[in-house]
Amino acid sequence: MAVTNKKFLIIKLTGILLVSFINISLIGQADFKVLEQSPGNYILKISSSSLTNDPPEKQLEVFIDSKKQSITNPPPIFGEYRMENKEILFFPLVKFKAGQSYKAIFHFKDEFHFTIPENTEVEAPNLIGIYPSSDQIPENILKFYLYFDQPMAEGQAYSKVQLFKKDGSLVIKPFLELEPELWNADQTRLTLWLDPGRVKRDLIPNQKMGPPLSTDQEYILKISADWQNTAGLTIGNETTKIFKTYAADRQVPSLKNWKINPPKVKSSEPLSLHFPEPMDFALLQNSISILLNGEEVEGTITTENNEKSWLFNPKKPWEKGEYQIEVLARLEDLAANNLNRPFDRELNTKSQKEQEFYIIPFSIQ
Amino acid sequence: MFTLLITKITIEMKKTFLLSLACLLLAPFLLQANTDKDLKEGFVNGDPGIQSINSMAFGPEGILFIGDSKRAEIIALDTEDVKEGTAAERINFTKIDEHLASMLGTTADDITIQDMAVNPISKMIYLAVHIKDGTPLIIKTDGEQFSPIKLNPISHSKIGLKNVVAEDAKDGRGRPQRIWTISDLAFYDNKVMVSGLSNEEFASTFRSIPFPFSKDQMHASLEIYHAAHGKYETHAPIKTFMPYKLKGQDHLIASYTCTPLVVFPMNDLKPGKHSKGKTVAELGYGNSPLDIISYEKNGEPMILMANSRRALMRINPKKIEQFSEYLTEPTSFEEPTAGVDFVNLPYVNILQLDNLDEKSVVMIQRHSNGDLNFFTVPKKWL
Repeated sequence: MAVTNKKFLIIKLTGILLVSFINISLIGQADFKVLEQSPGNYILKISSSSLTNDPPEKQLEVFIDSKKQSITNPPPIFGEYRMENKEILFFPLVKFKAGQSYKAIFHFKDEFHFTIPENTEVEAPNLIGIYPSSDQIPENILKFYLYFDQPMAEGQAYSKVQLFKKDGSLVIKPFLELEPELWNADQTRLTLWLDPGRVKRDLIPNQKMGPPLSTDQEYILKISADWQNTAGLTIGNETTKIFKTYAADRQVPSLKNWKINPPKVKSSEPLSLHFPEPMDFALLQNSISILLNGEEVEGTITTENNEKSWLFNPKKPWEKGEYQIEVLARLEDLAANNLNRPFDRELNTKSQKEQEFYIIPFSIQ
Repeated sequence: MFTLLITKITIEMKKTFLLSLACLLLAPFLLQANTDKDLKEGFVNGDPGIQSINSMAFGPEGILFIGDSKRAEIIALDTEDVKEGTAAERINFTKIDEHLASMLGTTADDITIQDMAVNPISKMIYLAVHIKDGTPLIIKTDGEQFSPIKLNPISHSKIGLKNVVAEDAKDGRGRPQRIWTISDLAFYDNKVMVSGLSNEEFASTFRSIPFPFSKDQMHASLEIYHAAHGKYETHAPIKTFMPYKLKGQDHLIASYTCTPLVVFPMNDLKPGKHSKGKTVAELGYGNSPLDIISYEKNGEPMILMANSRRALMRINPKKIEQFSEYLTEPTSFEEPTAGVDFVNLPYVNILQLDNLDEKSVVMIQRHSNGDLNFFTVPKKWL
């Protein structure tokens, strides 16, 4: 068995030693070992002369040993058993958790308690960004983004984010509690929606409760300190963002109002676009591209000026030529109006023809 | 380049012509083949590489469809659970989360139950669970015994949602693919239907993918709107949906994140078409729909919908059929609910819902004392 070659002994206690305290009617004896099979992955090995030919799961059961548990007679842990040469190896289905205590029971009497070492290599997570970054926000804002430097645990978001008015009163349920929560693939960015039913005009939630935010008010967004990462460590300090609201924005962003600063030929200076209003931070990262003769120019994107400026830093110096800025119609402003249509559209108004993308030409001479 | 384009078009035309010819010649055989098609064709035994399980639905022959948002894939698993079974007479399990957590060697605050699906053949209940570190698992139960589904190796087939070539690529240039969280999926009429929710733009996508999956196929990718009170329309995300026959015609009954209940005739759902559904009811505020199922109560078809902040709702589909005005008038403040009426049933905080058999529905409920309970309810009570 390959496993035994890689073994790293963490704890070694004998059944006799433990049983002498717990169960005085010991028959036979067992030697329990917790082995670190690979970093952070532990298995259990039981050697005993009293092993029988019964299936190993009939001879050994492993349980979680936690004060958090309120159920009596918790079921044993799922895992795979291998039995050979007077030994049983137990591989848990889900790896044993760092810092957690467990107990193994052999032949219904020999109890062995063990605790998995804490993972000291994992650092506490940090909240590294809240978007929009501006402290001036339209009252019909739809989304906030929270960025973390580590993958965060699921299922905690709606209890860790709260919105308060300036006077300290809580805004009741401003966010739509989506199940599952809207994380990016690596669980480092959470999208929070203000309840769209309350943002949309004339839907019952909007009529009944009004929009979640009102114009010309100051609000405080609080992110609590005990939000955990996937390893169970918390961010450790509370973060607040104070912002003020202005009147609802129901206008489709118009490219005509964008200013372009074309860079000089042979320079590596950024091409910058300036918008009259902040745009959605996440969408700014992937909905604008620069084309030269139909080919995408390589470079990196940054935003400045509270997402009112978009900068493109080319990988290579700019060549002379006729360029195109391609903007995908899905780019939204803070109130989820995209380039094709406002967030909610009055049906009796003539809608513009929908396009998938828009082109802004510019030249470098 | 122009010549190149012409050549490409000619090749495409030839391909289309040959394909059409083949279809014409093979049509009688294909029709025959379609009826006894091998649904597990193309399945391979190995690691499907599941990273998350956001939605589950059973198809025929014990095939379990999984929506994996992290991988942006739909995975069809062969559970081999095809032995006809009888459902448990009654399930009443308190603190199911603590039981599941114990079996997984952790505590209840470390797990989330993502979805629940009942195998209509064996009547076994499948629970999708995520551990805090992101590990996805499926646990099967008859209400008493629990066992994990071995996800590697397993016979499976999968299809990526990212690789869809649709209207998105008119100029042939690769664009950054949108990331969609799979909000619901269903198997209907040999197709896997998937609704997606973007974590960036406020939009909805709906895909219809023929099954068995194959490499070269056309997915219908739809942008779906709904109209409210004849005054505004929004391009909103679908949270849960269900294919359903209304007046003998296939429809999609969808519930949006802002809880309007919207009906689309399936025939209207065509790729690239701006499909506008008709809002037939508004079901409350501060709420997100969680699950929708159809069932029979005393021989009458009924619809049940679970909500994040509202009681379990019963809707009579006949009333949807009879509802002709489709909310063309604005609702008044005095009458906050609009459209087809619904009955609030005395079950709140129902997080998961499915038909167990013809007699009962299985649910997972967050009780007011914090317990997560797993139980059956006879349909005659609903």
